[in-house]
Amino acid sequence: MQQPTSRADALAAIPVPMPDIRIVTTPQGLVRIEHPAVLKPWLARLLPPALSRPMRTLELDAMGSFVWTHIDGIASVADLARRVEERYSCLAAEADQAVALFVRQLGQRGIVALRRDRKD
Amino acid sequence: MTRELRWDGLRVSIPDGMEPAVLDRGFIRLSRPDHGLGTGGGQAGSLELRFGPEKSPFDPDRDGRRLLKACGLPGAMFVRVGPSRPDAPGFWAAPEKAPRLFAVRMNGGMAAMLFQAPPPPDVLQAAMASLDLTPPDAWRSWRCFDLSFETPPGAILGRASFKPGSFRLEFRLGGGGLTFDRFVPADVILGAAGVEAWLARFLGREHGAGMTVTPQGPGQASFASHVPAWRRVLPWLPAGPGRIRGRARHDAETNRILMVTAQGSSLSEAHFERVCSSYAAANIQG
Repeated sequence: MQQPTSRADALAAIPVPMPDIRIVTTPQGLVRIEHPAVLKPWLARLLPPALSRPMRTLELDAMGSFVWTHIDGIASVADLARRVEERYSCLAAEADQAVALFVRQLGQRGIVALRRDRKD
Repeated sequence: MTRELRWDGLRVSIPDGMEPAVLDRGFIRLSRPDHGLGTGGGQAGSLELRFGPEKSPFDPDRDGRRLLKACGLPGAMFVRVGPSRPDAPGFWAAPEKAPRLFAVRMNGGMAAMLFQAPPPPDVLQAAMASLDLTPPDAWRSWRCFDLSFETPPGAILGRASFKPGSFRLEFRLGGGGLTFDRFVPADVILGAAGVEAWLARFLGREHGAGMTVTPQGPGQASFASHVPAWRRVLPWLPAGPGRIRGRARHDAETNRILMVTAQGSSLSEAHFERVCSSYAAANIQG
């Protein structure tokens, strides 16, 4: 995943769910994500490509589940932050930071990729 | 959300489009979300304020030179603007041709405002008109982001942290301390549990065992540390961290948890009540 270069870039990025994840919604309405483990680059190079990676499970809290349900491959990080701001009555800067951090963590786990639409 | 900032005794209006970027003891930096690069349509990109009680009357030749050097204007000179009497309210500006550093005396205090670029007259006028300083030996009103509260005389800001979802402002007061916490979103943090259950868990993590939580009406609870029997008999003995007491409130309207914690015995019961009742969060959706 290419890292955004500035705050504006980070907020304009569009998180897109990776195809190899599985989503389960718990009876409490929380989102559980099953995703292939992210291996260290040196380990990934050693293992044969045909070998399937072990699966990991991540259960999101209510706020994370709310954000996840709005990740549709169209909404940018800034759009998601505005939804969080409205839903949870937090400050705009707070929502920006919280959502950006959340999306970054999802990216590090290989759950989402970031797409940047160029405005030329 | 309020556009007036009250921080460490200083009151100043926030120019349109700016946000607090740095809040420290005697120092405030307001900047535009463009990170102060000055791309805000020709308007000043940032405003820095240094302030504090005036130890001796401001002398533009002596103090001004030091201030100009600290602000990166070593070759400039201060020019007095306003009444010519030295003791009358007025201010000094520098550099002479395109002033962007202003030194203002008020209420026994001094504030220096440094704009990144010469400010438009209306921005300068609004900032000047709003400036006010409360000395540290009086009750001080604080208003930052969505929070407002009062601190008793003698309270000194220790540490302020503004993490997403968790704001904390710590003050030193006599031999004790005073802490303001604000958590958001309350509905997620509390879940199905009430404030008492959450507070008991939170205090267990922060202070360990030995805290008693008492419900105080809907969405509100107070807490206090156990006082050993020997300390109740001999309360003046100088040992131990001092009694911890506080109050937490779930403000359903703003979806926030507001908590005040006082440590030690330097805050009287009446002052503690005033501090708790002044602590509020603004509804930013309104």
